[in-house]
Amino acid sequence: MAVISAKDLTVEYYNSGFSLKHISFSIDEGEIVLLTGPSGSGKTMLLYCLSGVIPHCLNMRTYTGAVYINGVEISKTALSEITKMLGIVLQNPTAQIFGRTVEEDMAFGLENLCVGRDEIKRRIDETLKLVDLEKYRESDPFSLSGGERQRVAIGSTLVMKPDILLLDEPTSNLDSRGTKGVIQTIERLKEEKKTVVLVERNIEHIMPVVDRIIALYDGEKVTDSKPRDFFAKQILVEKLGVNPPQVVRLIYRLRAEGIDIKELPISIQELYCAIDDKREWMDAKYYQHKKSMVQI
Amino acid sequence: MQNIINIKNLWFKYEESSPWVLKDIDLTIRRGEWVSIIGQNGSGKTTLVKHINGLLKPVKGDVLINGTNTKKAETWELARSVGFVFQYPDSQIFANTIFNEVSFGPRNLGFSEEEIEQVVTSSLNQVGLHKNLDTKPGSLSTGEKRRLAIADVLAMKPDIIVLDEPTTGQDESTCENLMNIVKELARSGKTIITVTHDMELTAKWSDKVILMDLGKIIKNATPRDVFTDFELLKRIEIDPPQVALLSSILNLPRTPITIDDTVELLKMWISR
Amino acid sequence: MKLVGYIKKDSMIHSLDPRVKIGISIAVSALALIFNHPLIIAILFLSVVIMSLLAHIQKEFKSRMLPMMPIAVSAFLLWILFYRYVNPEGTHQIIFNYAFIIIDRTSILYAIAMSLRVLTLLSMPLLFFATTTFSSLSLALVKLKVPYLAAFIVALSLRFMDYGLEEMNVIRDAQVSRGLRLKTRTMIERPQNIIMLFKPLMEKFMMFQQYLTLSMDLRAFGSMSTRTFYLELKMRKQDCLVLTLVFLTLLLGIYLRVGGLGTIA
Repeated sequence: MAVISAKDLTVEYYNSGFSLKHISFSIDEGEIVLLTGPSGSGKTMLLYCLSGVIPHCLNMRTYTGAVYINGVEISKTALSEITKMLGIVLQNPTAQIFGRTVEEDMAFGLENLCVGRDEIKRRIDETLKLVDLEKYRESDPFSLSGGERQRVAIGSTLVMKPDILLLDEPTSNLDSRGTKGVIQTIERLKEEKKTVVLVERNIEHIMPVVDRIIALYDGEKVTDSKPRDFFAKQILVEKLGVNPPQVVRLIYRLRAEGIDIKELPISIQELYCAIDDKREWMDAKYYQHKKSMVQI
Repeated sequence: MQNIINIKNLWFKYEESSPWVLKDIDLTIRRGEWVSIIGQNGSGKTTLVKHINGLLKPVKGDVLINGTNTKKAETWELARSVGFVFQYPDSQIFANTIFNEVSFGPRNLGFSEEEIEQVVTSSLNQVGLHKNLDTKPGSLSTGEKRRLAIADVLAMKPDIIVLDEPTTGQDESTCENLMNIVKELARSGKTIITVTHDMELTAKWSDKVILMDLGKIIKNATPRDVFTDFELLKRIEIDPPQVALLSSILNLPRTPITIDDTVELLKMWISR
Repeated sequence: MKLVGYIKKDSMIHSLDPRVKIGISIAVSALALIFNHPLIIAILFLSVVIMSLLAHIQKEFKSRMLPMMPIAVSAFLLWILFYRYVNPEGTHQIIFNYAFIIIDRTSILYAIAMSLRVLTLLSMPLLFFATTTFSSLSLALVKLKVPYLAAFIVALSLRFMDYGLEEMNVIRDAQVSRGLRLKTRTMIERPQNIIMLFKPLMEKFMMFQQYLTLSMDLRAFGSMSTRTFYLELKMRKQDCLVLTLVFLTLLLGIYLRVGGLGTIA
């Protein structure tokens, strides 16, 4: 069942040239979708449209078409109702932290919605587990690392119990430890059948969790496919200025050197299978999107 | 002088009562080297490089830049030798035209007006920002702003250039451009220091990699030596470039750390 | 270095209800303004210092007070030079006389009192914010019938003051690295230096403020006419006791002052 759908969405800002043109797609429950494309292609703008920020918080010159979340048209629904279905974590986690402790920050949104104290506590307990921040319950979010702070921002959104989460470059300023923490959180969300749409440039690290890639170029949707099919379109990938995982770029180079690898591997294990003579190694498990790092 | 940067027994903490942020750092960097400093956030990377242009002064030990001890020099004096490109160009862009922006540094250093004109034009060319000198910096894209910030620094003609997270949050094409610019600078003899999370960049371009953890330098070696020390990398949770993991799956004569490397090795491997 | 922020410690001062601490702040500040005898103001300042000891924040208190010292010294010098012009009948027992500078016993006492007053008025809020979290302050204000929006703004400003200072440091580092000399050679350069520091800060502030208001909307801020308060604030016996003592001290002080005590005769 489609939880998110965009129908012929065309949006234009007042001052800059940024716009989205005739965007249509639908996303089912439990899918993890990556939105990618070069700077200025409209990724963040699209995220804002899906979350209701456009048109409720930002005025547009043009807004035609529609966005539906759980069948409800976003532009005709109050933002406070939307926040019960969908959560968005913006690019700057610092500007989203209101609490003196992680616990207080998570309570903020629920306080605004007049949720009862006991229910607030119960939800915070659950969410702290989900984002793996139980030991930081009483900590000042500003004393935490970038990755932990990012998880606070995610947790404070999740506590409002949305089934859909939108993330704008969640790992962009994080080190590898922080990035792993965020990816583990997304994996846990997947297990809980939450739908996640994220904008990311750091594709290599996020690949293990992604089901689908939607690419934008100059405000238009140019492709919507599974990761393997996306990376198979080498010319498009390069035109989009997207940085595929190193393994994929290796294959592009090998192909250019005349070494043909038929199946496009997107992880190290798959690469091994692809080039090894002993094809009996190639069984289904290597083609599943589990952790792409080999256990050393 | 062969060693352009000489750091001896450097210890640093922000306040009397706070813990040590840098512990017993010993480091020499030769003129013309490209050194990458890697490590988790909080390992002390940025704190260390801030000692190079005197933004921070050692609590114990010494930092010598081109023979000058930073304890005896102000940052603006050291700006002659050390150019620092910060992570976010918005932290420094203030002028109303790109000319005024780029000429600020050289003017501070006492360049003559003719020198300033010449140096501004050449720096902007070097970074590929071919725009009218009256252009407002606010109208530039993020990638262009980043190049502007580098031009700001280049205009002061430093021997050493420090880049703090040059590729974080950048498009692939912007990264490519940036790295080509830096590569040219390295070729022209500048000493380059990058602080980065990008292991691929580190493996591809650096002459030397310094791995930091909890305020100490735990490894100072070539990219190959660092990225093949899998045990150490696993301990501090840093991932080597993806291709390096191939060696643990296939029986390759050495561990590849860049794509070029891998292609070469695989060609040999396949033809065996 | 945080100038204003909360310092987390386990102390009796920290655990006092914020409303009591507001009361203490008002009382100490009021008394420091009412009296002008140096001894009395010294006692008031000492009480703040003692409270900082009780709060186990003496080290941070000292380092935060240090930048204030020049202000106190300036106050002392100003008053010592100008007291006789402000209060000519009060001057006697001239101690020092050179050109237009006449210093007498009264002006010395007065100058000491003024500089101590400055220190007291600056140190009291310092102590307050170091021992009170912005969220408990916000709740205390609401309990004192301050509209929630106002209380929220106060809390948010405190919250982000240290963040703003940090951003300022980043900008300063970036500009100094380009040869900006903060200790300028001439006064002409000063305005440009200020632009260099404040323009990027203002732009960052604008961007930040946009994100902040967006975040507030996304967390349903202001969507309902009331809200739940997750934190609880209850006055304990000791809070009531301290508040009563403070109130009585203030009353006593006012009474004594009105009776003519506590001035430099």
